[in-house]
Amino acid sequence: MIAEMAVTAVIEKGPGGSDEDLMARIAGGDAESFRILAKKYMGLLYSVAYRMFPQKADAEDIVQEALLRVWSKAYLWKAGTGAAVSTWLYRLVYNICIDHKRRTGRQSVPVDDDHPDSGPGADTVLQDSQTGAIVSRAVRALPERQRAALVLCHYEGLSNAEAADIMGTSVKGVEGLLVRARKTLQQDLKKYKGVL
Amino acid sequence: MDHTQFKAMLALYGSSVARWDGVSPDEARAFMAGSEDARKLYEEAETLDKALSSFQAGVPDAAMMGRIMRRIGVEPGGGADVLPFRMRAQAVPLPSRKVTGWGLAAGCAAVVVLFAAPFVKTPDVLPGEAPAAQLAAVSGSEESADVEILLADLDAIAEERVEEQEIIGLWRVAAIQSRTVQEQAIDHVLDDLFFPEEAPPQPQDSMDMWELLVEPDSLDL
Repeated sequence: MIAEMAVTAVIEKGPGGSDEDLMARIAGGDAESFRILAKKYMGLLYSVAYRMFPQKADAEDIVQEALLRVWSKAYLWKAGTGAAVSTWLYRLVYNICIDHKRRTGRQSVPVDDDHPDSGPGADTVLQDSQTGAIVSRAVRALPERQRAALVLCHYEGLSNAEAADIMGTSVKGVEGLLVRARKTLQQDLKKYKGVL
Repeated sequence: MDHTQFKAMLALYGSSVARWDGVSPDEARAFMAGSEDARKLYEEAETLDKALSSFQAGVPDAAMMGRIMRRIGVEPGGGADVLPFRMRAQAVPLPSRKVTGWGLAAGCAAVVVLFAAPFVKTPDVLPGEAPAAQLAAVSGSEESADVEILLADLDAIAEERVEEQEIIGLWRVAAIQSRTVQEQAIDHVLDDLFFPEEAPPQPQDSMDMWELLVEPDSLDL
């Protein structure tokens, strides 16, 4: 029974061990561990980055910067503090997104449609991609912290407490951001026939 | 559950009743079953959530992983001008505007240790001399006629070199640890900063500190 539990634990951890094990090896310069961790979390980081900056090039730049920082700053991550590696990565990509906005000074950016949605039929696909583009613009128009709260809580499924920790604010702060974000989106999207 | 709480949950979490904090899904559905207004509000939230789900992030370019691995100097093709990222990030900047009090203190301490440490006394031998010259210097003394004394002198030279290398290693460790402490201190300051909601851009000094962490290329080699 103990052997079965050990095997189950190994399977659940995934190749290379747990995230903490991977981080410890990355801090020691293990490139293969970095590759495993990067492949595991690249989609997560891209998901956040693209919803914050719906331009493929910007999102890829942010993801690349985040992963390069993981490689160079892995020794700063504190194991055994109870914080998950995924939470640290979310915080990393969030901070880079905030800084990216400051560095580029972009207020409104045309959204690209490099990722059209897929659906069962041609008409449905077209409608979904149009809706996606409209929603993308509406989300992009939100103030950056409202957008971040929405991305972390609604799209990434994090709790309000987790999002508050990542954004460096209180739970009440996150709740206020979420309420305003949803209210703004409700009002903006009502203008588009067929979206709401 | 009352109408106010129901509206608050919808405003916070939308139609995902499983995420409603402090309210079970059964409780939420029971409330909606008894209120037409609640059902109408829920349908509006559900429509918004469905629209939000149409905003798909897609997947990154498949070649991005390869680009990242080349940047960290693992895969070939990075080019002679692309140094391993980790090496650049941990390089000792000499001289550099990034040298702080910690770095200076570590450097001064290392200099004191290097030149004040009690080396093994070998008047005719200096660190850095070629082994042949040292051997010749030692073999020329009257005491070195005895082979055992000669070997003892050679051992002393070897120990002196090991001690010298250890001191240099300690200096390097001190320099690296000073950067670590510095960067950890910067992390703590950034963690303690309170970001006002929808605030104007941060003061310039905070951005400079942040640039230390976000732009590794800014480190001097």
